[in-house]
Amino acid sequence: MALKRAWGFLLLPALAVLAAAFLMPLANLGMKSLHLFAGPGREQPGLTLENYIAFLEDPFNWGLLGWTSLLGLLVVGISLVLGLPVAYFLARTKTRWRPVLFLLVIAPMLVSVVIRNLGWIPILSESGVVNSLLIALGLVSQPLKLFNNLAGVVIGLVHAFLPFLILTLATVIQRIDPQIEEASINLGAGPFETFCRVVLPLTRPGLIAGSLIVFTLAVSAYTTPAVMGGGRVLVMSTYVQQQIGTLLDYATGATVAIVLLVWGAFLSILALRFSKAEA
Amino acid sequence: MAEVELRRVSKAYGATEVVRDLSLEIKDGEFLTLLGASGSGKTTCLRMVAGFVIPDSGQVMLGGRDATRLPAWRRNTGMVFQSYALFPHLSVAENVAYGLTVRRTPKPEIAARVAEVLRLVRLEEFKDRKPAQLSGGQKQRVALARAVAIRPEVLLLDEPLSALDLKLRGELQAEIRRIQQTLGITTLFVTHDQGEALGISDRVAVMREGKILQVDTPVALYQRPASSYVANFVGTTNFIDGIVLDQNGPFRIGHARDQTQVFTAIAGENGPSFAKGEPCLLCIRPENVRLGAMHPNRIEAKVIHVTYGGQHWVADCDRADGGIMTLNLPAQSGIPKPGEVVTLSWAAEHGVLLKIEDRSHGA
Amino acid sequence: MRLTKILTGLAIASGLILGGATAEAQKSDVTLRVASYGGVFTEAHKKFVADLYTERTGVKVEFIDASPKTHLAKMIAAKGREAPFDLVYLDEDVEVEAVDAGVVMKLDPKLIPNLAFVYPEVRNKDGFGPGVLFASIAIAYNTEKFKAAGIPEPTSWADLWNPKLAGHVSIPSIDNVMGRTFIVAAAKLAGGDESSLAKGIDKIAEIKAHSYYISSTDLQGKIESGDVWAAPWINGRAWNMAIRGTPLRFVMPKEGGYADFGTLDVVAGSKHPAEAMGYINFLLEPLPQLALAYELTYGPTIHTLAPLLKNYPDLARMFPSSPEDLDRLNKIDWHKFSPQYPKLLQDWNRKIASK
Repeated sequence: MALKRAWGFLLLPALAVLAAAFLMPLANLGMKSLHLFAGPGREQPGLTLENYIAFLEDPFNWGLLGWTSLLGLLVVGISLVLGLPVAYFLARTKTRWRPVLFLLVIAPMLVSVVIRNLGWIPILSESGVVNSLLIALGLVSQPLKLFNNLAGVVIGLVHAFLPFLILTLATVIQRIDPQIEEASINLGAGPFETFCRVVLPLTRPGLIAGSLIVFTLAVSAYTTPAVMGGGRVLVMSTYVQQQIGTLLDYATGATVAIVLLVWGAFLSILALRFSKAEA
Repeated sequence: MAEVELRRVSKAYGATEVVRDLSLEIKDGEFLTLLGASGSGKTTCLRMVAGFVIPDSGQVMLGGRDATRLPAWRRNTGMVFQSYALFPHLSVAENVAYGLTVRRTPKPEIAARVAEVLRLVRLEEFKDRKPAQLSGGQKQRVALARAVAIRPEVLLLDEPLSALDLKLRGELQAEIRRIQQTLGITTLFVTHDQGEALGISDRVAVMREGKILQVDTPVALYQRPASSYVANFVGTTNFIDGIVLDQNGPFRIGHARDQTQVFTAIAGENGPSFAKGEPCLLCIRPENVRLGAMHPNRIEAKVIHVTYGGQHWVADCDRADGGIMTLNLPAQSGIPKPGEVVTLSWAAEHGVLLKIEDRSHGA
Repeated sequence: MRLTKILTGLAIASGLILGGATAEAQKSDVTLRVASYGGVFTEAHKKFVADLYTERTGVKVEFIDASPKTHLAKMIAAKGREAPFDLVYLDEDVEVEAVDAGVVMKLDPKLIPNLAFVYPEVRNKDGFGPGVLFASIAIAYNTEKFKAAGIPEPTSWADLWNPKLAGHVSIPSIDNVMGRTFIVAAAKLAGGDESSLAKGIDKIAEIKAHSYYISSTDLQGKIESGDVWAAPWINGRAWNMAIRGTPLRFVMPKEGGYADFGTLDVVAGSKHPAEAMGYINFLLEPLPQLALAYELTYGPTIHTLAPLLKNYPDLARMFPSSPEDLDRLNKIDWHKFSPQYPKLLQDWNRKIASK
């Protein structure tokens, strides 16, 4: 017990920093959402919930929230499909190139978001690499719109956040005894069935943690939807930026940000509950 | 149930040859043990049968069919792993049912079979537990039940007892043997523990550097080892360097230092031929050496120390030629004092003659 | 490039001469903080305005780069406390908001004698910061793509609605001044004006746009990729791209292009208003005006350079360079625009940004 208490004291500085860096801006944001907009950069004095009522009363905003969640789910889903095999390979490979492979995986994290998004232009544009290839192969006759729309945003976000998922999953898969997979194969399950029946259930904590990280990052990302969406993918984060950045309407911006925060927290708790119930 | 055969299989990882041109036959219903030090290639052989290792050359025959290229999941072998390798997210019953579930066996049949094998390993009341709630011995019994539940053609045991403590090991060894006998299942067992190998097997194959040195029943292996490595790896042995004086009829061996000292001996299993004047190795088990001159083969030695071993005393003696002679004395008999010079003797059929292959007598 | 060298030489020479003449003033320990756009804009201002001003007066200058809206936000947040900077470059419409918010101060004409040379239309009627850079917003189009598709050169704003251009027009987003300008242009095309801007949004929604670009850098990438063939754009960036080899032409539609002024204001609460106004006055001198016009391809806002620029048609065609140019361009009454902005944004979000 004494030792535990000592540890508690050691945590104090970190807690103080967290409180200062995280809770105070959040409290500030919360306060802003309780005042009414009174022209650029100004709020009315009285406290009110009217911003929230106005937000919830407008079906357009519900659409925005739904659209944002859908974007998050799409990004999580595609990241899982792409990330699971890669994570599995990274966790199990014995090649001496492994550190290099890990570096390749985290490479997108080392590039600034603007550069990363610009890099997609020659690949995804109508005369870009992907479309040229598809047309040359005769798979499509008209170039696909892969950019400046939802598809572009999804591609950009998957690219940006896939490393988080892969690293989370690889760490969990690495901890699974390879003999357990051999046992499954020995008992007659093929590699795919073994993956589904053994690896997947045992990777569950990683799947949930990784998916939550990716979802949260995806629904709160601003730059990628703004740049890769071509101005036609309005989500909660770009809406917040618009309200605060161009209207200087902190009240509405803060309200939307808090709604997104609460929604994200709600989904996270739901996911964690779900994972505990099944484990 | 079926016979298993490895035909001239080889496997190398890079420059390291793990298995070299090895052939082995396991008869239907037989319990065969691969015994060897770590790195001898025994586990690789087992994994070849399971399908986890594809040999570079040679064939793996399962039930008379060539299974060399058959994927592991189509082989119908039941494997028990050293680390148990139970599915931590499944209950005991679900673990045991796993192989049947993936075979799409009808549910009632699965339930019946699971109950049956859990009874066999005496774990009926644990069926709803998760592996984390079991002891090591219980886990290994679940692993065994899981492996036999699919009625495999061959049961593969990869050092299944090495993670258990000594007492449990003995119990589980008996359990494995009992279940194997009950089911009459062809079994390949891998271990580095010679005691385990001798106690449980119909036959034992001693492996070294990717080759099988000798395959025999535990009795033959112990009493008539084919090489000094085997003699030394299986049980304790005394060695005397000698020279073949006469190879007609029973062998007559002269002591390498003093050829006037003559011993009689027999050749080891599948006895090699010896030329007259060829250097050789005479091998005598400690329990066959007697205190006193009651047998024709005799040697003088000075007692170093005597230790109590429960069923018998173990005496280590210094020989004149510099070697050591170890013998077992019945617990009731009188024992010599350290420093005492004694005469030791043994019967001709207890002296096994071996070729000199190298000076490293293994383990 | 020849002109750059001459300008640089002139700049150094004038700096030395003037600097020598007013050696006493160099002892000033004032540092002006100037809120700027960043990038080449700040670089050019450092080289041809700030450094020279420092040599002449001893007043040091440092730049703080961000968008005009961000600057405005900071000023509003700091209102009543110490000003976050002394001078601020703004877009014309943001200046209107800044004046409304009371975060910029009226200038003292006595301290800025050069105001007399500024086009009257560009001087702020209420005495706040004048326009210091003169840009125009019109249509940029890719000549090769147009030729290949058999589309004639655009002569009207309405040509952007040409079905043959479907999927190849990028429209400036409402978040930037070009987008706000284009809403006015579209409203006029639909028979409205600054007081009926909703018409403009509806009109824009009819364009099968490739995208709605958020910045000139964003548009540049889209043009380079070959996907975008035409866009309402600002002269400076369009000409820059054309000069560097893109087959791009910047044309005035028959309804006229739109004037766009970059303004420079003194921040309310600045501790050094005299030095700040001195900076504005210096910026309005012919040399910095000419150098900036050359470097940034945005025109001077003083009429004194117009006769000179007539002799350099290759340079002068890239930006509005004469009173006649100014007359031909449409001017927007941002005072009418600003109050409608929040509602417009909602309209834009519903009809354009989420489709």
